Amino acid sequence: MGEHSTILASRGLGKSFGALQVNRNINLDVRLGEALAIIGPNGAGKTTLINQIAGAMRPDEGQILFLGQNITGFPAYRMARLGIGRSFQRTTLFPEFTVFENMRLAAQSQLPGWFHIWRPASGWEDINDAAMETLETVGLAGRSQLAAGALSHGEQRQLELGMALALRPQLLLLDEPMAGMSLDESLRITELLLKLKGTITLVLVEHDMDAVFAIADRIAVLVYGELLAVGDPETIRNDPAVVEAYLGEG
Amino acid sequence: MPSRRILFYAAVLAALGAVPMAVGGFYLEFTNQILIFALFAASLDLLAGYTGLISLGHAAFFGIGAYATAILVELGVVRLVFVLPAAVLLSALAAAAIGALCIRTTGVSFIMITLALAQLVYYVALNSPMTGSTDGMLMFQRPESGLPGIDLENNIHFYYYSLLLVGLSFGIMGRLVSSPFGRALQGIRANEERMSAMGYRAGTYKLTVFVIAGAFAGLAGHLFVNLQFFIDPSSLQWHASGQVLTMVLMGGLGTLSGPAVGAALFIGLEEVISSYTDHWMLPMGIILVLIVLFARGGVVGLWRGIRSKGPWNG
Repeated sequence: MGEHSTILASRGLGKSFGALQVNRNINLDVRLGEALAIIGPNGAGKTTLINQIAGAMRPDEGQILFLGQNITGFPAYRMARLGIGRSFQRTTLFPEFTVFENMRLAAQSQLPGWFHIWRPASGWEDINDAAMETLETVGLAGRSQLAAGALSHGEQRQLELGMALALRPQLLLLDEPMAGMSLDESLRITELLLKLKGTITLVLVEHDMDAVFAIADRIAVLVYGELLAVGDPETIRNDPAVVEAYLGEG
Repeated sequence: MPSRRILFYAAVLAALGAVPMAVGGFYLEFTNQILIFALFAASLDLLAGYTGLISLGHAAFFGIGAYATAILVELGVVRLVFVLPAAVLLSALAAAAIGALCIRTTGVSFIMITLALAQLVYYVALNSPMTGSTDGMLMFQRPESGLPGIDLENNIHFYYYSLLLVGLSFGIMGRLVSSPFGRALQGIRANEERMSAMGYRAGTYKLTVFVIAGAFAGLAGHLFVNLQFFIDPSSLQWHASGQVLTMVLMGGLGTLSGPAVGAALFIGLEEVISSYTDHWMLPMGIILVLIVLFARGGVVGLWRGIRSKGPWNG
């Protein structure tokens, strides 16, 4: 472990909904610059884990450390400002806004301060440029004037990813970015994530195993709320406990 | 096209500026009243239309602006330079206090808590000896402008005073809603969770717009009491909050022209219908139901829909 620096660490993280313990004693280190995939059957607590790291849910026990700082229980907006970006499992856009306006709103969050009222939003050139640049990165520059709700499902997922990227996060949490995508579309996202890899740290929850094995440096397996195994893709693929619990089923 | 828009607003402003040359007396007062309620309704739309915060207590801030003006004048503070800022500031302060409690809730709870806290303000106005309780307060004079040649007691001068403040307010609100701050408000209305995940502290935005809306409502109240020379607790009851929300809905949520049109329509209809029958609320209710059913975006939304579908819109 010594040769890797850790960007994010969870220590004994636990979360329950009533009597149901969704995350139990999770100790996970995310290394700076790596792409870590979290896999596991439905209901294993993957999204709950992401939600706690992103500040959308408060852990019941344990700690979350980001670059050594204890950030346990911080609200979502503070996590975002620290450099933790996220995309959602359900597509959550502003459907009546244009694609560009969605992206502009994401880029605008990088402005220092918040009470900017004297110049129209369209007059902030650097924000507009940043938004357009990110639209190009995710391949939506040509669709910028369309209402976001009018995009195809795959394109909406691309926008969703782009809006998380526009925050220029150090750590990007992706909750099933390929969900509901056609083969073509998920290949495009895989390609994009491979391009991003190395420039930012990625934590990826995904069911698409082709994508996971193509992208991930390491894989963490979550089963019934517990961390079953963490390792490089080869080790995980051949781990009998993992195969029995998850991979073998398919 | 923005230049055409500016031209349109300039034309509206010029027409409103010409009103005192054409009419006087009742019709001047009538137009003035529409201006004041246009401001009041637009301030509510900052909350309801732009931020998605449906408040049923907005009349409280209108009332505070009105009472502050009337009480100061009664106490002998008649200089406008004191009265106007005091009325706006007190409304803003009340909005900060009430808003700090309300914005912790959303949806129906938000509606109910704004209603409850505004009723609290209503009961203070109803029972305080300073406010004349149920009788309300008569104002025997308008504040003094302190400028040579400008006498607010003159109804034409007062009309221009209203037009100036309402016009300026609409200018500021227009700036506000198209600014990054205003866009963030609209983002919060559409998807608060997403905005938080992008680093926006939603509570700060909501409280700020609540205070701004309260301040503009207070300004409308200040103008109202000066127009009527009278204020009583019914102006800040929940019924008054419902009435201004009706204006916003009639004209069109989420626009600034909508509330202005809605205010004109509401006050105009009330005037016309009540000259035929005392039961003016029934036809008014039917008209509101029709607008809500068939024109979701209110009258302004309907107009924009017709224009964008029309063959002449190339």
